[in-house]
Amino acid sequence: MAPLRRRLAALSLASAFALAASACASGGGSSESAGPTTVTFWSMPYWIGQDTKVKALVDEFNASQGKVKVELTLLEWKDGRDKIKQAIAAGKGPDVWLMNNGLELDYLKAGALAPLDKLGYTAADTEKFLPLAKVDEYDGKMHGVPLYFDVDVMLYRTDVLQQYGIAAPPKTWDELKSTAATITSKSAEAGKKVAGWQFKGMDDHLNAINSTWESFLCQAGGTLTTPDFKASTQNTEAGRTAMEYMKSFYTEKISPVGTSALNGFISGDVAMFPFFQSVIANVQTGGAKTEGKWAVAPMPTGPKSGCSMVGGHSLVAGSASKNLQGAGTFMRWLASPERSAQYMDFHAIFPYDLGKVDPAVKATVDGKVKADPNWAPIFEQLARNTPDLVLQDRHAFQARWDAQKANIVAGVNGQASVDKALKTVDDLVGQALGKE
Amino acid sequence: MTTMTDLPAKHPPGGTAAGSGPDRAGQTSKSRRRSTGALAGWLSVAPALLVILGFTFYPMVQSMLLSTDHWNLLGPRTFVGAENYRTILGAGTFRTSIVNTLVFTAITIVGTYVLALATATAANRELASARLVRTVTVLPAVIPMVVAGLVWKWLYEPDHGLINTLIGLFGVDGARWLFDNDLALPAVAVVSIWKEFGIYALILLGGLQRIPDEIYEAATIDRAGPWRQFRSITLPMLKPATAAVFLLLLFNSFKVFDQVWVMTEGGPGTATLTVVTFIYTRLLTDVGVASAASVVLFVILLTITLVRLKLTSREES
Repeated sequence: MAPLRRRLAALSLASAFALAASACASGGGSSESAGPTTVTFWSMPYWIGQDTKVKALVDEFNASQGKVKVELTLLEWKDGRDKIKQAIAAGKGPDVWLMNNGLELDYLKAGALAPLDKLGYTAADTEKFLPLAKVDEYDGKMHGVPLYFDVDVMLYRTDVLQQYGIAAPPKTWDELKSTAATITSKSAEAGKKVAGWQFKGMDDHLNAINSTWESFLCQAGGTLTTPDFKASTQNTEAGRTAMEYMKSFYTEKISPVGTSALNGFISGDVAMFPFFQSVIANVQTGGAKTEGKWAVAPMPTGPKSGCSMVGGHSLVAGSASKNLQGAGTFMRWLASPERSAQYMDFHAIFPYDLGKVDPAVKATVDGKVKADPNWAPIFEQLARNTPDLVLQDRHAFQARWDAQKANIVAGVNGQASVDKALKTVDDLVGQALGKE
Repeated sequence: MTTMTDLPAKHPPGGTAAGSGPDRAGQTSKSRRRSTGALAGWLSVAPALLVILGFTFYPMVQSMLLSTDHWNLLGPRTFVGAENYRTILGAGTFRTSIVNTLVFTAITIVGTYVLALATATAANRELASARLVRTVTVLPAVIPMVVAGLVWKWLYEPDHGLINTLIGLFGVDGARWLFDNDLALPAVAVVSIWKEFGIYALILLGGLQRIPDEIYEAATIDRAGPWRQFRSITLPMLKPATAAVFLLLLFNSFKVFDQVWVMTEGGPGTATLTVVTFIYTRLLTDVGVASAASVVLFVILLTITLVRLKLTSREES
């Protein structure tokens, strides 16, 4: 009875979406039949700034061959992941879908993701990826193919720094704070308030506090969990160092709570902020307000290191898919070095080892890196990072996501004491880890 | 199970099983008519009943069953008894969400009622402007809450929002509304009050219009002033409408989600985390905990409703 109850409950949770999804994915989904194999692909519009690009890529794939026909269901970022999970729980999930790099443990533990060897990938194929691709490993096997990586970097307004006599972007936490304080106080004296620094996530983009916090925690030498992933480890000396440092920007009035980091950066009201490099696409929408007035730098190094959070997206295939070979064919195409080189156009990081890809692709990537000086600091930041933080983050991911969003903000803005905020995160995440 | 259609056939009123002649024929025809009537009755309520059973009763029962399980939608569903209840009742976050919901409810009920009553009183006059008041105050109610939340989020924006821009004209720095721990919850409540008070004003206006003019005329002859008339006539006679408004406001405030999610996602920190927001954040990772929180919310609302019904029946008797 238990499986029936489970399916009924999942069906009731997913009923509304399943109806819509079945309407979108007409044609009987993914059964093997004569003619081209149909593969269903559910994705969010990951090509930042151009929502139609994913559809254009799917159309290009469908036109390029006749064996596999991909049916795309484009979801929204705000609830796309939820809809995918609900549909899979109800047994109506897609063959291929988009998932955060690092993959979600719920899926991995439930055996819901097909390992890449079942999709036609060989060891030679997976060895072409950067070592960071280990974030998609589980039980010694890759379960996702990275489309691209993101990494937390620092963006700064070159015109503002120049205006206040600052020759180079800050390289350490101390330099960051003094540079930001100089800009904030001097601009206020001049009658045009500019925030020297804004932590992404302490503004209108609340979710961003997760990557921001994890970057600063890492720089202070902290980790998210113990090596065996059994306990949460944020309420530590490293955690307190990171949070006290972030908090000091608000208690010392260097940064204003609530001012939008991105919008402020575009308008020139915020001089520096940290976020994934893919935010460049948004900065560029500022047109004349930002053109030639900004640059990227690696994150200022903390007491222990200059590491930062790694993000990005992978493609995964459902183990329940009846079209694993078709799914594999499509994934190899959409996550190929050729396509990943294209993704650099929205400033997504190329996930392959350049020494192991086709020379023509390497030439394309090299050309793009040479043409845009911001790629060098992005790759410098990427080289500082290991898969460890992402693999820890995989455990109790959602509990940590919610707990950090509520409690790190509370600790940094003074609603809760630093100790209480960190203890609450550890308690909430600890409970979730205990259930894994 | 005995049904309504069974009863007349088995127990014909005022007769015996061995009835005879025209009496028996008449009773049979009466019984047939009654059966047909009952069947027609059931058939006409069946669609509504199916919808209620399928979309209210079934999810409610499922929710109660799920509240005793640990389940993340993908893995196995395991029975954990009362553990989910212990988890949420022991969690500071859930307690915070209950306190926030109560504060939000109090602000919303008081704010909405006062504004709705003032509007209804103004609209109750036979003036041309009264019609305008009726129309204008109901307008926000037709805007979807998500849209209203987004508009107000922009109005509250600390650096370039309309509210702080206007405050800035007086040389004063505006507050950081949705980012201030103390102001965020009242700021969200203001949106609910603004959006909903027009509808409640209409309900109260209906109540006001049912108060006979003669009572006011008699009070005027007795030299009762406007305030005395309002206190001693209007408010007591508005009690039924007020009770309905109170109950609706209470339910809607306890279930607040859209505007909170759109404007603050429960932040900053946990300053605007309400019970339904708490449930939503756990829905897809720990269905059991989310269900347990739903059951607690259901029990709270059921208790309030039962108390309210008891009080009403006591007043009526």
